[in-house]
Amino acid sequence: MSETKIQKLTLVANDGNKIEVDRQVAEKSVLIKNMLDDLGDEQMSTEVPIPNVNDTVLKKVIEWCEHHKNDPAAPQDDDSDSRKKTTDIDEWDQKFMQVDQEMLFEIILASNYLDIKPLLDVGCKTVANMIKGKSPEEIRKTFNITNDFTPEEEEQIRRENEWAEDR
Amino acid sequence: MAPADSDLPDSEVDTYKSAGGQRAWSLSDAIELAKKIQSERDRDQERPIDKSKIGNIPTEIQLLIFSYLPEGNSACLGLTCKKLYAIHHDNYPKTHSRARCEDSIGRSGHLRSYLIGFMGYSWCRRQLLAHMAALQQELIDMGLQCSY
Repeated sequence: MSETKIQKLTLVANDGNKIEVDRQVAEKSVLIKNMLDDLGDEQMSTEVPIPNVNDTVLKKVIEWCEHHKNDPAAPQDDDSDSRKKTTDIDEWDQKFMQVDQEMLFEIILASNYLDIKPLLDVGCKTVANMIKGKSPEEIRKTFNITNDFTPEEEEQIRRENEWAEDR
Repeated sequence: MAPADSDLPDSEVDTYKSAGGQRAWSLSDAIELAKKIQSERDRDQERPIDKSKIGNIPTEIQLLIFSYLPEGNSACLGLTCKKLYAIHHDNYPKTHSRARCEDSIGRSGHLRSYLIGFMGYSWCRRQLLAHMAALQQELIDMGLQCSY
């Protein structure tokens, strides 16, 4: 059965560009791994369309997968609401995430779609670190968020949280 | 012809009444007033739309980002717009202004020091004065003189 095991896959980004990767690298994506498992090697075409991700982002995601291809599989979902999650990011990942904000969110969306949990975590931690130490107004500026509260709603929030009476 | 009171914004009603109801309304006054009322209604209806990335990615990703924030930072993110506030409020129905906040290098602080823009100057001043009074009392209790 497994004599014809596929060793290389070609990922096709949504703009048609093809990128060849080792199977082991592609399987960092649980979406692709499940696809291979479900279809079996015989029926699997070696070209895998990734319709939600463009070439630039896909290349970046693959770069991450290449670097992390030998990481042990993540421990079984231990994120069962362990509230005190650390936002520490290892050095290579920190460098990897030094991209503009547009790209950062593209990577997050792509890793969500491709189901690459550790990469999604790194992306979200990076965003969390950008939020820390900032006031609401500074966060709005950083992420270009439009304040859509009416003055009445703001007042209600103050009351809801009893900030006004705080001593 | 004077428009009915109910159609007037309060300030206009006051002006009208203070003139003893005697003010003569010209057509241009009426048009001006109609425009003003309309523009106020428009303003109430059109809520600015948030087009930011962080405000528009799937909720499950927003939840994941929130999960990495201590309560105080979660509140700061929540106070940026309605959608994000809904998520914060779900996680923490009531946030105290002493909730823990972390800065970018991991030092702890209180949410209250990040609320300045949101709560206004006088609230912050009161907070500071209350804080100083408490400190002074503490020093007096310890038998120390202190004044500021």
